[in-house]
Amino acid sequence: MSGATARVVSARESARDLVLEVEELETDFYTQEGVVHAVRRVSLEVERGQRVGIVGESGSGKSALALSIVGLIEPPGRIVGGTVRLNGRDISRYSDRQLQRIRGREVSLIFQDPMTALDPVKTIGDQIVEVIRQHRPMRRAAARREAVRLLQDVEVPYAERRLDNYPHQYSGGMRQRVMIAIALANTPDLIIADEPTTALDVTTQAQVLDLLERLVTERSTAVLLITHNLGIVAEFCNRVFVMYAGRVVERASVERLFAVQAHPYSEALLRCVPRPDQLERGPLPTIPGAPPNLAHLPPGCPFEPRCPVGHGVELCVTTVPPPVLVANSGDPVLAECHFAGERYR
Amino acid sequence: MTRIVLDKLFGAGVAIFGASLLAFLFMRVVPGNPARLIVGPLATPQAITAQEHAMGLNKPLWVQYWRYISGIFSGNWGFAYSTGQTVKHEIVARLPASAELGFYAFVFAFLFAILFALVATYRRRRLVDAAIRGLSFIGLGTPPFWLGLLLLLLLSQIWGILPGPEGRLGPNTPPPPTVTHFYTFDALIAGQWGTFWNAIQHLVLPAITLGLAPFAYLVRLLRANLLDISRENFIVVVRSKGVGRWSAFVRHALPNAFLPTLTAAGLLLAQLLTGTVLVEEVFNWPGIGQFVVESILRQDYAVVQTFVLLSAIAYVVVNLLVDVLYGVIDPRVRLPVAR
Repeated sequence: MSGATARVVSARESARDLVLEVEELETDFYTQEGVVHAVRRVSLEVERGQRVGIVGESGSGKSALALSIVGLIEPPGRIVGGTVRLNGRDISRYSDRQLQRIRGREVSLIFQDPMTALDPVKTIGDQIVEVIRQHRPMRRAAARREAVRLLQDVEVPYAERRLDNYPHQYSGGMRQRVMIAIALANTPDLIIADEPTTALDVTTQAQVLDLLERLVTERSTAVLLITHNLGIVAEFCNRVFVMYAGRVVERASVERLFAVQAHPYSEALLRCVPRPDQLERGPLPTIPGAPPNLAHLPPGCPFEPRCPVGHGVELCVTTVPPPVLVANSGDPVLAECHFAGERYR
Repeated sequence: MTRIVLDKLFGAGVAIFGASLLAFLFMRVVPGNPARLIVGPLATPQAITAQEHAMGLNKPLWVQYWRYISGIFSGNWGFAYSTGQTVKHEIVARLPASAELGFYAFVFAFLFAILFALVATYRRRRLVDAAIRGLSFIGLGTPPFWLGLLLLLLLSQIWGILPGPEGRLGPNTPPPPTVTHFYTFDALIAGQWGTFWNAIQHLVLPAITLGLAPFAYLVRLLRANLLDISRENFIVVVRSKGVGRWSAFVRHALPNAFLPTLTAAGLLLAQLLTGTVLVEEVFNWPGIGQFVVESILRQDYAVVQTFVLLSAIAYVVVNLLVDVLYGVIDPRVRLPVAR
């Protein structure tokens, strides 16, 4: 978000109790193809205990955003600008050593693929104990007891016995429960969950999501949920940020977004969610075309080539749309579309 | 689990049997007659026949093979005609020197390979990585005997930092009382610090010379594996727990990257333990390599057969150890006992 609007909105929001406040965050990847702008001046905020969704197609920069927030972008990637405030402190200038005290304690991550997220040659117990002892001075035995409690919390049966199992002895769903246990181990204020259920089969998805919901509600942990699945957003989140080509193109409460979409991309995304009651014969709706190459962005609106509203419109081809505040009655909606104001009536 | 162990043991037995058979047959296929070599060029045919009888060379092959094998297991390893000593005496006198050198060469290669591979991959500095890769290329391409001569020239002749090619100890240092046959260990056991230091000084150059190629090989292998593993998802997860880069690398990336290296290291160790001719020659090392080569030329059957068999046993034992270590490091190798 650029310029004045950002400052107006964030000035109002600083009065609220924010766990996470990201401003103008920018992350580039230096590849052979050129500089890939994965995260392009993204601003977002998460209130204490709030559940915020980030939706978008794959390649829209969601995962890079998650890693950028906790400073885990590895070369060839680099965070080139912006600030990240966690519990009011600007952590974007922190050294890695300072960030180490925050990761796993104030903010935890859950990743997409539980099959590759655990070290195959260490026991589950050791991997939970590691995060506990990293942040709390605790004897091994005590940390192990704590790990058993955590495994019980995430409903792993026979927790005590399974503590000494290795990852290959766990199923995918069970491994994701372990990841949740690791994320919750030090009761962080914020969990960033990057597609936490995408790699699981459908029934397991629902179980894991319900579990996560129960646990974060009990602890009033804020969650930044990254997903491409609007159904999950509807179920889980209070607020939603729609990402496209490295930008947040629409921000709204979940109720508002599902009622009216200010950005044509949001509308298209929503149309792609299959609803069993409305299924007709024929192919499922898709968004034609592909997201733009983040190394060679078009000069105008990045969605213009695929947009049902603005395709071929000169304004859309030539000018990047600024964020437009389309509704502002305690539940603001911001959208980056030249037609957002017209559409939102 | 017992099934796996039995499989391994069976495989080991087959390997040792095969090696003994090959050594036995190759020696006999090679043209020439050892009896003739022993009695000399002017001997009468009768003398040659008598010598053949004495050595059992007139017996059928399978009887000769049986004598060889049963001799090995009953501790009678035969007689080395070329030196006039029993084979056992010769091997006990020479193998420990080779084994000690090989052991230290391996320790040097292995430890430095880990260190250099970590340095090459840890910070992802291109220059450091390129330098280490270059070094490993040089290591792989350098003939050890040439490197040995160069090191001797520089460090012993010109700078005088280390002793010259005097063998295992300096001329004024008596060997320590024998326990393990390794001079360094025996000196420590006897508390003879001077002897220990002397032995170490004599080991440095030959160990580096012998270990450089295995070092270079292991660096390349470990570096590639470390790079692969450090891109794995679980390393990011570990970092997201608040673990530092170095700890994540050493505690998580290294054990995983280690697995393929271990197999290679086992083979290298077995190879190094049984000696290398040229390096021993350059450093005047009283090892077994030179002796075995001479024995082959002189068709000294008993020496070669015994040596090949002992080498095969060394290979097999080291590889069994590697398999066991594999199981210790990688839980997926162990059978899932309970689900």
